[in-house]
Amino acid sequence: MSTTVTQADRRVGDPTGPSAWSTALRVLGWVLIAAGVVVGLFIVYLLFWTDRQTAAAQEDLVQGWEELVLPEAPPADEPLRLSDLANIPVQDQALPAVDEPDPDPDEPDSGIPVPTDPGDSYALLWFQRGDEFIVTDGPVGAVQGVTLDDLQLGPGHYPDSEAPGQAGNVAFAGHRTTYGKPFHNIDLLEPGDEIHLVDGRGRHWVYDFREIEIVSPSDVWVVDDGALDGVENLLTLTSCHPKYSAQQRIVAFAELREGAGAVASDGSDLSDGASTEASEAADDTTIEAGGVR
Amino acid sequence: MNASETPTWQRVLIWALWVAAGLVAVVLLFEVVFPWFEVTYYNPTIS
Repeated sequence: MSTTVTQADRRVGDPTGPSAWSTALRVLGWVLIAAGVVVGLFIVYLLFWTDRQTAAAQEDLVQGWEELVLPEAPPADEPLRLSDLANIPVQDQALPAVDEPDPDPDEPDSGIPVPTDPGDSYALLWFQRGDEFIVTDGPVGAVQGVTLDDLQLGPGHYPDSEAPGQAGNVAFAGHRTTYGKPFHNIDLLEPGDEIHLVDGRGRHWVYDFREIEIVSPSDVWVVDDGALDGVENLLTLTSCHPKYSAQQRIVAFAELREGAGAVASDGSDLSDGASTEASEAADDTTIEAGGVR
Repeated sequence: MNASETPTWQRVLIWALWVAAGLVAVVLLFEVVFPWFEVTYYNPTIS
C-alpha cells in the first residue's frame, strides 16, 4: 500500500496525513479570506449599492416635482436645468409660523404646508452658485421625516421644524456618505451661495448660505428657532462629518431672502402677482401623499 | 478515482453549483445581512 505525502504534511512532520494543527491553520486561512471578501463586499454595498437604491427613488421624486411646478418640463431622459427651474416664481415674504396641531389643508394661503406622512415627497431642493448647480448635480427631492428609512429616499425634513418659507427654522438632514449622498459636498458652500426650496404648493423660496458649523451629534439646538444669532427665518441642513464617518455633524445655516432682494441669481420673477399665481396653480396639483414609496 | 478521472460534465456541474452558491450568498449579504448591519452607520441627523 502506498501513501501519498504532500509537502505540507512533510512540513509539519507527519508523513501519514495532515495533522490537526495544519487542518486548523488551513480552516483559519479560509475563514480569514472569506471575512476579507465579506468586508470588501460591505464597502461596495455602502459606497455604491445604496446609491443605486436612492437613485431610483430620486427619479420618481424629481419627476413628481417636474409635473407639479414645471408645465413645460424637459423630456424625462433629460436632466433639469437651472433655466427650467428659473421659471418657478420666488416668494418674497416669510409665511407666519403655524402652531395649529391639525392644520386645514383647504387654506392654502394661510401658510399651512401640505400635510405629509413620513417618507412622502416634501420639497424640491437645490444649491446654486451663479448660473450653475453646486453640492449636487441638480435638484434633489426631499421627503418628510428623518428616520433611516426616510433618508434612504433622499434628504429628509425634520418633522418638528418649520415648513419651507415659514418664520423660524426649517431643517433637513441628508446623507453625506451612502444612499445617494446628497450632502456629500455640503462643505463647498460659501457665503453668497443660494439654497432653493420648492414646497408642496409650488412655492419657491431662496435662502442665502451663511455659515458652516461642526457640532456633536447631540447638539439639537441647531434645529431650534434662533439657532443662528440674528437670523429669524433660518434653514438648517445637517449631515455627517467628516466624510465617511458619523463622528460629528456638519451643519449649514442659511437665511431666507425676503423683500425686494429676494430675486434669485437665476433672475426668477418676484412680482407678487407671479408668486400668487404659482401658488394658486399648485394648490390643485399638490404631490399626492405616498406617491414615492 | 482522482480528479483527472472525473468526467468533465461533473466538474462543470460542481463549479456551477459553487458559483450559484456564491451568488445566493452575495444576494443574502446585500439584501439581508448588510442592511441590518448598516442601520447604525452614517446617521446624519441630530438627536
